[in-house]
Amino acid sequence: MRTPPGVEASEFRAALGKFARIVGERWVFTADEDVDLYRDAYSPLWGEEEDLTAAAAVAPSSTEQVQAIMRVCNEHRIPIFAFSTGKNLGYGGSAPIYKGSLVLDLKRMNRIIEVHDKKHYAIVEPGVTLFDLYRHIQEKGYRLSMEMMDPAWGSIIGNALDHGCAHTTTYGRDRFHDQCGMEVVLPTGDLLRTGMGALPGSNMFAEFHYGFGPYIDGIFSQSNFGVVTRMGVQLRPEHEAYRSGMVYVPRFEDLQRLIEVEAHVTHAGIANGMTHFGSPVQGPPMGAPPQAMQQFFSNRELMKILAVQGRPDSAKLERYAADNKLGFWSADIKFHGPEKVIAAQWEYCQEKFREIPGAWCEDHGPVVTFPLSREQEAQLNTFGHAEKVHLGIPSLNRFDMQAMMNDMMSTPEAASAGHLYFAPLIPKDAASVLKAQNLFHEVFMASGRRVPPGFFGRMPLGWYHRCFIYLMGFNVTRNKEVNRAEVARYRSMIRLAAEQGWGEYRTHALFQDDVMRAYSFNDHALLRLHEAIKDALDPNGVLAAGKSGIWPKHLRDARS
Amino acid sequence: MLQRLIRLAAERGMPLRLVRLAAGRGMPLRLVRSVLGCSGVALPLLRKRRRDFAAVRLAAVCAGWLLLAIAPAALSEEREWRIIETYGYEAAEPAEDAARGKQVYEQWCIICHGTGPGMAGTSAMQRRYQGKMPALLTERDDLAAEYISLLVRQGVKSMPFFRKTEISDEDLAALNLYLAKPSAGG
Repeated sequence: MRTPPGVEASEFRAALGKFARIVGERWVFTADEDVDLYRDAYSPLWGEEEDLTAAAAVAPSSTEQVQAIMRVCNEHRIPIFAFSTGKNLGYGGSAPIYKGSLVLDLKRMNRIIEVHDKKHYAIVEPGVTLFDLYRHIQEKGYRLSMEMMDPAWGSIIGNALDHGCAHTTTYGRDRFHDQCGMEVVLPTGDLLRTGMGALPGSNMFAEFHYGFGPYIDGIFSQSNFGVVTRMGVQLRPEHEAYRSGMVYVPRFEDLQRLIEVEAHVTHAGIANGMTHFGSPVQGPPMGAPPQAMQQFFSNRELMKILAVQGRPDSAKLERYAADNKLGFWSADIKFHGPEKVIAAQWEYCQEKFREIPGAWCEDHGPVVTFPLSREQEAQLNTFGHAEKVHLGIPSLNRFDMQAMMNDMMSTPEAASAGHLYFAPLIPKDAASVLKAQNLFHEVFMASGRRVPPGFFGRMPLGWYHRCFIYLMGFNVTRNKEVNRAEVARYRSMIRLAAEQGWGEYRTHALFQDDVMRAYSFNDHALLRLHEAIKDALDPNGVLAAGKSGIWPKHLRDARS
Repeated sequence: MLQRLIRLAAERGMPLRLVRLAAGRGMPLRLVRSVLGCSGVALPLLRKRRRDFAAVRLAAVCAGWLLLAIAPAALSEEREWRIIETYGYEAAEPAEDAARGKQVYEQWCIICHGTGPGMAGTSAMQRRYQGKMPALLTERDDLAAEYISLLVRQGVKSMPFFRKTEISDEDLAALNLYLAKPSAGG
């Protein structure tokens, strides 16, 4: 039997006996072979002494059981780390941040409490995945649209609480934005309902966020202040149709205007899907088939311009673009809604984009209408057609692309076993995009790597539509040396980005202290407030120590 | 009458499932109506034993008669959650058969190992075997139970391993019965 740090074996044994009485012996895991299943499958510390392993696991099936477990943890001072489905791969998965903690596995809490197809919301437990809710909606024949991330095997609640993003509508991609009403077990075991859930007799739990008084739900996201056991999620009526259009601009300098016009039509709600920016002369768009990538790399004329270390000559690229009728930059604009309405929205957007000299627009793939025909569905996730994730249909298409890239990064000595992402927020303007490209290129060069042709055509993502997220992938292997180098490079990027005023919105368990330290205004006033809340709500400091760099009092001093 | 009761159930946040269940088993609708009025008393019992109809009916009948005595107090209780939808996948009580194995496969494996574009597992098999072996697991005749268990519990490349709250030992045994071929070696 493993024992959590700072806990006597006899205390832990007594606690395990109580857990077994609460959830049943079957749902308390102490054998090494079972507990090892709670490791982070994509751990960059795999095989290292510091790898984030658990002492044991307990898997409740109800809120009442979660309350009882938290009370036992307080009684015996057991550190416990909670997770929903454990599919937060690349961010730590099901592993505790404080090594050796007990883990609270909420996967068995997988009930869809309610779906209201006329008021457009669902109330779910943490074990419910996007696939689960989608299948349920389809089986019932509800005419509802879901906001969708990929891979969709993760928890709806867990994703929202970790500030996850979808690929669908402007108003719903921020997944925490769509949450409405929470049921929370506080670290002491006390039970809280927020918003209208606090009013006995109200049935507007998932319809009005605020209830009365300070809006408190936000403190339960990316935090260790409570275990969310139920959440309302606002859905939308079926969109009826979807379409996408490409906008191309001819010159290097056009990027700023392209971003400005996109911001205008998006912030005005006219373009209401997720825009993907690209640079057609610097590489195929995301989702292109492997053949397109092969054609790109075998294009000798283009490679003469691109196969340099440093930003390629923009004048030469502009000439190549003009000669080959390619855009220097592109924006893939998307629309969700009734067919007639989105046709008008696209028409207006084209007028606005054509104000940029030399810009041109094209339809991108066929208009998709709901309910989908078999023929339409078969075309999804193929090049030139919509991805399922853009339509609100669960898929692992992006995971497939990632797995393919992981395989490409594999070497005989170090086969890829996963990935990490560095994900800083940068301002939504051309100067910041170009600066980020230059800066991250320098990091690659400093670590002795060469960047492939097309590196300066890599564009940030607009999950949060008012700013950009510049994703940089890191390889995870079972080779300690490779992993150590990647971890060091990741840490250097956190520091480098922070010097520019760029911070990560979400990060792997291993880097949460580093990222939180970067948000340091007024001698870390924000972290000090988090710690004050932590001490008030979790006086024994048992829940999820270290989440977002927030440590309980008894561990804080030792860590600083 | 039934439709009126369903509307009443919806208005009061009561479980439609109970209405349908009771009506389907011939319970007097008048009694169901009574039950609806005091679900605050009945629901905790129902939730514990919601798959056991005898317990549901017993709880409902008791609650219905109880209503006659304490109706005002019961109606003023806090509204219960409306559990009108439940998701059906639960770990198998030992039902280690291929039919269950197919359910497990469709719940956990097919989202990556199914047909069509964007299937990470199927794509990986295509990259690995280049057509020399079927890319679909269901078309393989060389999969041994031990090998499947190893991959499920240890993962491979980008495919993570699965916990026992996801695929229980019983479910894994059922999955093996569905996917593994007895002739395959270990």
